[in-house]
Amino acid sequence: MLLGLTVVRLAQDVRRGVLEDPIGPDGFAEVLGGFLAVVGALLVIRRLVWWRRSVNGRVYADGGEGDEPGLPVSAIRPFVMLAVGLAWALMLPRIGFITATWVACCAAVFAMRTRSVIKLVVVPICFSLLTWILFSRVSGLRLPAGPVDLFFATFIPRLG
Amino acid sequence: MELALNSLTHGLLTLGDPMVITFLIVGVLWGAVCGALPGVGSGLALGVVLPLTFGMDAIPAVAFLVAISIGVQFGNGIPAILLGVPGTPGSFLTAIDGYAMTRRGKTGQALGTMWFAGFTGQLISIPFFVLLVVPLSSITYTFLSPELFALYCLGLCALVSLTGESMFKGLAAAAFGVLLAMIGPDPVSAIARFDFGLRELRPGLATVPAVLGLVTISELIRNMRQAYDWDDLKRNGKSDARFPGFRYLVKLTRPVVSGSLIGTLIGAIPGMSGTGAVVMAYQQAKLTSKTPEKFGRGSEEGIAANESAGNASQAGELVPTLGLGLPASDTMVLLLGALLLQGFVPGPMLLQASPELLYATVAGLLGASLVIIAIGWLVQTVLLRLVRLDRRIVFPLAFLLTLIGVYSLRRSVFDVLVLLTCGLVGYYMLRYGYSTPAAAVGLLLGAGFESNLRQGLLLVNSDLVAFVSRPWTAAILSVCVLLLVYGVVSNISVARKVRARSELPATAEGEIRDPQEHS
Repeated sequence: MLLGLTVVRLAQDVRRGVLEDPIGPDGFAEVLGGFLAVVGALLVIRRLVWWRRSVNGRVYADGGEGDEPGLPVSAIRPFVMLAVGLAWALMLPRIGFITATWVACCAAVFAMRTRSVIKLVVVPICFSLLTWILFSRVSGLRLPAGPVDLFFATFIPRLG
Repeated sequence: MELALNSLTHGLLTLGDPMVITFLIVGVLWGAVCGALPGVGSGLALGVVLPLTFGMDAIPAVAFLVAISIGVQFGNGIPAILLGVPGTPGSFLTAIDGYAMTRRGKTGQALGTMWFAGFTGQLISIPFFVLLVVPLSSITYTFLSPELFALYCLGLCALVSLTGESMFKGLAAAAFGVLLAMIGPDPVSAIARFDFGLRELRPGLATVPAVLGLVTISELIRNMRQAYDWDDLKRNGKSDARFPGFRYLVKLTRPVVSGSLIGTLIGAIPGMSGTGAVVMAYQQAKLTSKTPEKFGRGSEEGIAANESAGNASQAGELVPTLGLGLPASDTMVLLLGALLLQGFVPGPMLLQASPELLYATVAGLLGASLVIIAIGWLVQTVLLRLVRLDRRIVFPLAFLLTLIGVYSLRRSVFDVLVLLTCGLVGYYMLRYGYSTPAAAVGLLLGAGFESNLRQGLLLVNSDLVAFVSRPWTAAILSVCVLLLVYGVVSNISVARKVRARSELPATAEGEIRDPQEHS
């Protein structure tokens, strides 16, 4: 609902051009925003109605994918993974593809509560090397190079 | 008819290219591996490799992606049979009967049925695909903006099959996707909209990273909420993989053929899905079976009908996707995303403008079927071990592979930001029942929807009656209304059943939990 209202407000700032059609660059956005606002309001009302009717304040699941029962859940881990991804993208131009990917892979596997040395160290190294060969050598794509990348580049020729 | 025959001929000729054959084999293997890993479906299988297709030629790329989707469908029966865990919603019936057969020590029979039904379903569906898609694309050649707008409407209304349990939430998700498509220059006047002063957003939101974020990254990080291995679920089945023999398989011809026909035809209807096709095929097989009591308790006929329909529906879903430019499932959404990468414009004119896509698709369908015939049984026996792979490793690697692929498209950190942001939004959409495939379809179809509406109104001098009263426009919009009514009615029916079930005395199994309580 808030998103819809925001869209309607932002659409009013869109200026019209020389070539005019009946709807214009702002009209479609306003209709869409209005639709989102109405649907959002209906969902809020429905939720409130169900809450009033519910027993002990529990509301029926309205879609949504739950977790596997009986196993621990971490609400933070998805955000940790997103942070790892963001850090990888920012590190990439600075320290090169292989190092950045290896570090990110280690961090991601560690976040999944894996403590085996092979899975924490060997698998990420193999993964970063294989992906570098696949993208840089086979597909011919240029990837940021750090000192480690340059070291391997002397041994592995372009295959594409 | 001539174009249909040409399509089959060119498709066969395309299989003569060693590069295409290589990608077909790799695609089927990759798809089968992803399908065999519980939780990794076609969305992830296609999403992870989609950026790789950027450097490929169009025909091998399309054949590769089609082969992957077929491989996934083939592979996802393995965890269903071995662990009782369906790889995709469409294989839940295979899980019921297949796992029951595994518990009785008949894993080999179940796997053999799956293999036979899989490639037979594919082979039967191919000529139907060609016969249906060619006339559709010819009809759309005469369409102007009002008719094209109606087709885009149909694509968005057909989302009822992707909206999940709540149609309101599904339509809101689709509207959100259309909203994302509005970022950038206006399609008629080129006025900048919703770019918030960011230079990177002026040409519009990068479609492929946004779609991958909504469909693939969201699913990956949702799966990573829980760090467990499959052994922790204590679902152990026997893994005897002896081939059951051809005499056993020939007895399953009837449910396989009927399942294939139902899968192809139902899958071709925009708004219906592969899941709907397999359910209908299963019910039909049960009605005509001499042993209906075995269904749900370990029926090879049930597995045969389910798997043949599921495989045949892949070709069926390609009919509206390529013929009308309307993606019928999340797999088809990603296929259209791949076509975007190759420079094709998804929409009703797709095949008319690029008939080589049809040849590549036929090559993909046919070649993948032949690969499954040749090595499918061997692949199944190997994949039985793969099902036990540690998901705590698989998901982080798949996550990083997707990031690398998106970065490699334009070497843009901003694309990765778009991917992660859409992934975060998609994660919350999944948690609270909003359909991410619906949002992705809205994103892909939104630009065409708006531009054809506005250009169509210009064409008829803003006369709305003249706009909607054009024959094809009126016919297609009527189908849209019927689809929406059907969606509303079925949602009300489901809601009543849920309410009736919840009013029964609560038990440890029957209590419904609010996903918000997990946060």
